[in-house]
Amino acid sequence: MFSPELKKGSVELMVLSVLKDEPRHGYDIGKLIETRSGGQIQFHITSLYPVLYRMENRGWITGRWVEKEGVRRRCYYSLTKEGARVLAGERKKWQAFTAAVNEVIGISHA
Amino acid sequence: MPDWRKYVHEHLTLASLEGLREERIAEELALQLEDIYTEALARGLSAEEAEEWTRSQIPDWEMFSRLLSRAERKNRRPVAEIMMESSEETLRTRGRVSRLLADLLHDIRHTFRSARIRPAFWIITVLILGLGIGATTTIFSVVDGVLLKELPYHEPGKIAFFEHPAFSPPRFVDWKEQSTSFERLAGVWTTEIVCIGGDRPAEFSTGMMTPDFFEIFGARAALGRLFLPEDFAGPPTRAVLGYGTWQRLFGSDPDIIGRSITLNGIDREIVGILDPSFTSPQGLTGGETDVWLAMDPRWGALWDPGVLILAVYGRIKPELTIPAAQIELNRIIDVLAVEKPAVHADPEDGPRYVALSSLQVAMTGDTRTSLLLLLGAVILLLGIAAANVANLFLARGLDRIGEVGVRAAMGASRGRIAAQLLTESATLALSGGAFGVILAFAGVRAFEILNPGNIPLIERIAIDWRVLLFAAAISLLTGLLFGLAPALRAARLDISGMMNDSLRTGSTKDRDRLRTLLVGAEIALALILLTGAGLLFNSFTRLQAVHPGFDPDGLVGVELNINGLAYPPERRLALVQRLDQRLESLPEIAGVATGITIPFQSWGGRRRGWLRWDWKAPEREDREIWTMVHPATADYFTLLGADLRGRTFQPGDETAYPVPVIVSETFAAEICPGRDALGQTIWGYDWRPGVPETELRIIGIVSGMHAWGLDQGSEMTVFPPWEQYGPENPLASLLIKVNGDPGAVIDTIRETIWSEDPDMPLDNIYFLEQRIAESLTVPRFFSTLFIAFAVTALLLAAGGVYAAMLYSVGRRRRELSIRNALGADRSQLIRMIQKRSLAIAATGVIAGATGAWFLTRFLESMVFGITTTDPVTFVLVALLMTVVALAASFLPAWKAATHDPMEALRRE
Repeated sequence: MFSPELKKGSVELMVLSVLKDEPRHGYDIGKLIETRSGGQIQFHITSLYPVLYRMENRGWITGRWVEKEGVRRRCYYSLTKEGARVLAGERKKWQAFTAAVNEVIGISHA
Repeated sequence: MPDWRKYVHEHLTLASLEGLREERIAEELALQLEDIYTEALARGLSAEEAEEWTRSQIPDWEMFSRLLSRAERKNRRPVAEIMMESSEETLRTRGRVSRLLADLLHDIRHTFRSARIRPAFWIITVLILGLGIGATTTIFSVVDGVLLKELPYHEPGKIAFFEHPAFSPPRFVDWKEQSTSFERLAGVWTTEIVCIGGDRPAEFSTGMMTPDFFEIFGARAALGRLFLPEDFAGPPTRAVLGYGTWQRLFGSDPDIIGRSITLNGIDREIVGILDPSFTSPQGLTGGETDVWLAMDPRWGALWDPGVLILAVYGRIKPELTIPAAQIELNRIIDVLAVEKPAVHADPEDGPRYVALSSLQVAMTGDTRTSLLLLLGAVILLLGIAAANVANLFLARGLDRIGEVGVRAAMGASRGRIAAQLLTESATLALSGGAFGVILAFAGVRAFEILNPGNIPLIERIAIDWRVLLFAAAISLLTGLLFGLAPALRAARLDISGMMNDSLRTGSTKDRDRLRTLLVGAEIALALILLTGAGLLFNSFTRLQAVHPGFDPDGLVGVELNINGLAYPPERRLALVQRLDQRLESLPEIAGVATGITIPFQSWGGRRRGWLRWDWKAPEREDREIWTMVHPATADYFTLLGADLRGRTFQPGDETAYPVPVIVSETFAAEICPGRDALGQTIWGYDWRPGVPETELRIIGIVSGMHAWGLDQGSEMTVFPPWEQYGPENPLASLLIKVNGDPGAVIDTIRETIWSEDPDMPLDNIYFLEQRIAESLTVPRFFSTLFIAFAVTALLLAAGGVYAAMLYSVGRRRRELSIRNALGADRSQLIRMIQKRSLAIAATGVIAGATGAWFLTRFLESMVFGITTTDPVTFVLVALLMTVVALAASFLPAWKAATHDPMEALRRE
């Protein structure tokens, strides 16, 4: 059984996936999700930042201001341990969900 | 660069946050806005545009601040509650109605935002819809002004018109005495009467009315009074002037009442001036009556069942309807037909019934059919436009499948997504509607300019609130139509579909089916329009090619006015003979002839003349043949260059007996069926008072004369010598053949006639050639409009086919490339793709032809010389549609077939 909330968790799932390999700043996260979805998913500021702050407050990600030579000061977000754990769990759930749905409705891959 | 930090600080209001945290959030947002701004500049936007674009990223700061504040609350509720859409937040915080409103506003904003991102899609959609809605709105405003808006009378639905142009006074009086359905019943005889006194003699449109006419239409007097019962006694001597006549003719002289006006040589006392607000039914359809006279319907001079003069109007009692009045009228006529058969019955057909119709229906007559057909045509056009846009939406819907899917994944309900798509289509449709209304303003103007002159009530056409309401309604309806399919689809869409139907190769079969259906429907609708236009075009060219039966070159017609008291029959004969002589002596005139009418003196249904119906064939058997008796002089046929067998009149015929007559070939066939009528003797009744039977000898047969319109058949006509029968008839016209430029001769002709009779109004002088051309303006007008709509439909349908095929081959690019790589040659690939287009086109064509088969019958009254199911038109139009559809899909096919396979595969 899947929790009915599962589908709704996908924004967090996407943010966590994007941050898995390296820390990124907010603008970058939005852009990356847009690019990876082939432009299908567009994150406006108004949607992105509330999610980021909530995830930060939950302790899944953490923001750190970084200043580099010649580059502007930015807040980079990275996964916490807790975040990595949540990501792994959510991924598993997601795969199980899609697999089950596919089985039910029998969509063949093109 | 604008100070984004300051901008954020000014707008962001985070309640109950520690200062440091708030500072960090503000800082981060400011940086993000800077990034967006810089990126926008890099994309090539101007500084202002970039700034505006950046500001638009956070359209609702209040909402955004609230979202951020919530996110800062350190609770651990399920992740799921975070919504992608700010409106989803509203869902929880506001009441139901304001929530819906917020959703709506958000969706509209979203639409405009996406319009900015994809301007091409938006512009094309608005253009296509604007075209469809503009055309529909234009024609609707014409239909509204002419057919729907109430006439300017009290309860106009209660005014009935007796459907026949004119009745005799005895018939009218019997109806009036016996009928109980009418509050009031009145007749009016509208005719041109000569008025003398001004610089030039003028003809006045005069309405001679029986009592109650003014009361039916609620007329009031501006000055003096309207008619009293005592005015309606004996010959018409009391006059009421129209307000305009009073201004024009008497300079609004306030002391006019009691003075007199001379009409047809008789002085009539002016008793009143009509209120300027009054418009008579004649005025609504073009020519307002100038002078009104009170006429006793029992006036002896007109008391004859053969005098067909009165147009009859009645106001039905409030509790009755027109059909109820019709039933009573039929019953009355049944009884009268027995009591007074000479007045109320035909010898063979029995009682002479009369149809009642509402005044508005009667006034609009034939135009009603034409206009409703045009409305039907533009609605088809709108349907094509809607199908076109629906296809665009579907194509884009596929692009947006991801977006919608994510939205669903975020928790937006299906209803919510469907509502958003519908809002989007409605917003687009209304934008298209706004553009359409602008087009309609131009369209209505064009319609007024191009009006061929036969559309009654045209001055009431306007883009008013009724028309705007209509435009808004059809816009929304169209929006619903083309938005519904994608919306329903979205409502069915589910997340797994999104994830698994890979965007590029996904084959949602029913989506394809829907697209095919839409394109097929476009083709079918366009074909219906094309067929209609084809039929009208075909019949117009046939009409134009009709030979009138005479050679109009250099011919001038002059209608003489010899119906007044000043012209007893002897004077008519003298005048015509003198004019004939004087005009013929002019060097620029080649010949003059006289007849009671001249071809094309009027055309269409109207004709003036002298009808007789009792004849005796050579065997002396009685025949009833409705025939126009048309006295003419010998040169009449020569000047016309008519196709005459036998001979024309010659000296001596003016007094000869048996009377020599020339007859039309239709009459000849009717009176002597199966054998040659030339040289036969026949008899006609009632030619002159006291003469029961006149012997006539047929000396010539004239063929193929279309004197009353190219679309009118060759009338049954008997032409006796004008000298014998012309002068007793108050109608006479001159037919003049001129040498050289006829324009220069007109003035000479006028001056010559005026030197004989300075009081003769000459309002109807015309070139026959020009009249024939004028008679074609109405069919030309309607067939041109139809063709314009049909061509637009054809282009839209071609665009639809093109777009659909482009999309379809785009999605099959991988397959096509592999085929290409495996060695299929181009022509094979093109054939393969074209085969599919052909299948769609053929289906659409078959459906359209079937529809046209049923619908073109409504064109019945507008086609000439062909049936409404003319096979040649049907086949040609179907071929044209198929060829256009194939041509439209060729380019996409060719492009796909010549695509570099490697590149396509790389893109995959």
